[in-house]
Amino acid sequence: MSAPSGSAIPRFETSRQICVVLPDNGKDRELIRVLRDEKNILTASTTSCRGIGVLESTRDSKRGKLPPSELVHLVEIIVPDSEADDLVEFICKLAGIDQQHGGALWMSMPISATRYTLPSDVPYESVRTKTHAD
Amino acid sequence: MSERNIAYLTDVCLLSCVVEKGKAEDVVKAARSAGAGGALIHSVHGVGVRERLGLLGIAIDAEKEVVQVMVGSEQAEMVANLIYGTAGIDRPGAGLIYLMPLEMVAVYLPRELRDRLKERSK
Repeated sequence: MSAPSGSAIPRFETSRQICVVLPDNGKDRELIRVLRDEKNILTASTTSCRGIGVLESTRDSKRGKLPPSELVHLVEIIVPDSEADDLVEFICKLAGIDQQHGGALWMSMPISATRYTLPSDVPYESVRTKTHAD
Repeated sequence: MSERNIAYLTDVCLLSCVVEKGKAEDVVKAARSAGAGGALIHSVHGVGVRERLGLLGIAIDAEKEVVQVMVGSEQAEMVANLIYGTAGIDRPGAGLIYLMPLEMVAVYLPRELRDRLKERSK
């Protein structure tokens, strides 16, 4: 498979994937906002899924029933290798992973990841809305 | 870091399993019976065998479920084998399992459990 003519072959950098499972309390959106505003990280997404906690037990477990599942959010973040460890500490603190029912975090190593940037001349939605109101 | 109720685990794998809609609970049950803990379930839209069957493909639901379970590296293959056998993934087109190594996992650890682990390590 060859690259289309005229396009430069991107140079991939070593990256880490950080996944954070968070309860349905709005922490996922807050985390993405903080990563964007304070850490300048744009490569983050959140999806909703059903979660069954490790510490959950059920009275019916002997009859082969599962504990009730609950709505949780999975935040996936791709970061450069050099920033990964500091960011894990930061996220654990911010998201409250060290508290009961605070969620969980894991880190894995993708083979490669492209750099992601946004056009510099397009303002954030909130700024644009304000301009329209003016 | 040591004063916080958090544990950083290594030698952990993420087991992901793609199955037909409604089969996720069977996978979670199998994983729990093998000693795995929590699980995440996503709803997804799958393509594959359905497109190869032409009109007969309408009998196969395009909606799939992905189950993700964290397991210790030593147990991973055993848990995968158990799920493969008990959740019906051994039939063609029924689903797939893949294992991915994780570099690190951070989870809440109750104080009592942390103290017990400390005592055991002395």
